[in-house]
Amino acid sequence: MADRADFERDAMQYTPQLYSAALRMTRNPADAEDVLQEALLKAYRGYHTFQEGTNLKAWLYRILTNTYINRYRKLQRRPTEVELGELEDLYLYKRLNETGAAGGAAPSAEEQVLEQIVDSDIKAALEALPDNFRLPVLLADVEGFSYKEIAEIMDVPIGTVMSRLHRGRKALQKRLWDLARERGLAEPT
Amino acid sequence: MKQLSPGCRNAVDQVYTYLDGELTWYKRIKIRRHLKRCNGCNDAFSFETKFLEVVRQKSSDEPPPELIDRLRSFIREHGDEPGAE
Repeated sequence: MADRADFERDAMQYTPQLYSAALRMTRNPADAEDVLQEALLKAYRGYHTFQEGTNLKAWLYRILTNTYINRYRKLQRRPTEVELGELEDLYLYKRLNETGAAGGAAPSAEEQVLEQIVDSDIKAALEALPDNFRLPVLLADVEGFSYKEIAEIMDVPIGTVMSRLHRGRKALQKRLWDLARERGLAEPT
Repeated sequence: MKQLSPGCRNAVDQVYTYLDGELTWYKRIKIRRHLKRCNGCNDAFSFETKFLEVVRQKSSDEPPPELIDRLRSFIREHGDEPGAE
């Protein structure tokens, strides 16, 4: 039997972060709450199997990720590298740089465009990624996990994490480039 | 940046592994040395750093105010039900 006080103090401190991750996974607040509730219940009931001294945060994200995958079955284990197509390196930087869209010679003009992108566009661009790419990007870039931790959370080899993470970021940049143009952030001046 | 030199190619190929701190020290130092000499790559790396920073800063949501309490009550009520694992 798990010690509830320990669980509430040690594990439930991550609830706000887990909620935010669940929201990016499910894309809506009601489903995010359902997934998080189910994950926390599983975590509580399995808390005695958690090895003290190992990574509690990663353990919780593994349960959350599995709960999401089992519930929605959207994440196919077959290779889906094809579905993003070919993506260039430095996708967004090159476009902002080459078109002079960022306003010409001003130093770090490209970085200023990034700062102008609003939160809701970043979130929408993240949520537009297919699961296989969205989960590694979420776990690395939002939650700050290492490749090895993500490999353990998602139960895939490190090489797969790397390739999906890097491709996922490029796809995210492609989406942000489209949004930036729609918003008039990247008009040639 | 039309035709990349081997040094630039090497740096660009590893931009994310470098920024994620996942390279061995030898490869890391090799890239750091290249960035000191190459403004083009240095600017690109700086942009990618900013990109990752912006994604992190602009992608979080606060949970609804009563959610944490609701979840705590739920665990208290159902966590130790018979039949639980």
